[in-house]
Amino acid sequence: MTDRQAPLVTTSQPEDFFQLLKPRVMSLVVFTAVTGLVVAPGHPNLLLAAIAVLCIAVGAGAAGALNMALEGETDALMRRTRGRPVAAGRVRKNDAMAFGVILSVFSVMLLGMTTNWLAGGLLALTIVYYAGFYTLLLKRRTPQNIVIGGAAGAFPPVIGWAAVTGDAPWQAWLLFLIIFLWTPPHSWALALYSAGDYAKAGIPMMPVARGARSTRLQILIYTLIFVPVAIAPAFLGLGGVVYLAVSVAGGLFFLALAFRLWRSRAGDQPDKAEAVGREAALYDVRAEAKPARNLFAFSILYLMALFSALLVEQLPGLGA
Amino acid sequence: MTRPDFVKLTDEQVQARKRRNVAIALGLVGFIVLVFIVTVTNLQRNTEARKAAEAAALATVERADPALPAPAPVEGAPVSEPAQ
Repeated sequence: MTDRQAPLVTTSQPEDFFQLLKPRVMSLVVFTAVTGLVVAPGHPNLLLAAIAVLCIAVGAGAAGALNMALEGETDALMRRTRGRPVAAGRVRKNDAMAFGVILSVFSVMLLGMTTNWLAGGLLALTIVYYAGFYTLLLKRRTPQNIVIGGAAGAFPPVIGWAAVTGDAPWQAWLLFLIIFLWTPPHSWALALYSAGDYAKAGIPMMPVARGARSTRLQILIYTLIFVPVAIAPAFLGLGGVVYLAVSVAGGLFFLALAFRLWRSRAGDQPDKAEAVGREAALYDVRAEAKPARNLFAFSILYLMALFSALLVEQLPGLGA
Repeated sequence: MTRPDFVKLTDEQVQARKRRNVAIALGLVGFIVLVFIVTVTNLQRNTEARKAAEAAALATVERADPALPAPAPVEGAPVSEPAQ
């Protein structure tokens, strides 16, 4: 009797459901959404703005929960993701799915009510794009998965902007473009030293499908496109002197790291057979893969620095 | 007549269920509070916007026809300067 009925009950804890929201990704989403919200012209009601940010965070988390529900079996095959709640068996797939759907509906409705339905619609589009289009359709079909799928992570500043003004002008889409073009070098740098995991899981990431050499070249090409776009806000009235300094200095360093990676042999050898844990898997790499790890780590720092500069310039006396 | 088969939960399962129930309750209460705050705040903003719009409309009518009696002042509305 016990065996037959065991699947009916679960020992999932609230913390496991919180982990489904991908708190780390959520923090980056919140940060970029807040930037869009602050940089947008207008003075939103602070209380409503805070609720809007909460809605965007929960919506992004809901997309993460749906992704984990759909990818549980694949996640279990990869070192970086095998500790996730569904992959590790701490949360049932259907529970994660229901959790994601409910949070999606609530966050979109509340954002629409709080601000406007353009912002609500963009949040809904982001969730569907990430959980449906990227996870279900793109991820396993094309090595360009991360390029096209990267749009999902680029929407938050547009949502933040739309929440204040009710429209999405080109300045908001410039912020979108920065994150969109940042995603391939960032993700492929990680993939260069996790290619074994992706191959095992049957995901055609660029290093698996086209090889490390081609991936390193594409990282360099994307970086050459990305850095001028990252500097562009300084010349288009969106950023000021602080932004110009940060974007140029960081951009040159980003380019140097990408160039060094292009000339390296990162990804040519299979990645470490076993790493000690999830954290170690991200940063503990072979000596020849260090250029890839360095670019991956710096890419996060650079994106944070760019958006921080935009935020800082909104402080009184530092306006763009 | 046989007794129906009920699932016998272990202590760990009961504890986990209690914690999940508390989390769901807190989440629902939080959602209700948020909806309440949003409703009240939007109501307040819309009321203020309507008052301002009414005041602006009255001021326009007043400027168009000076023979009309002066409209009663609207509470909270900006005071328009008389035409010279």
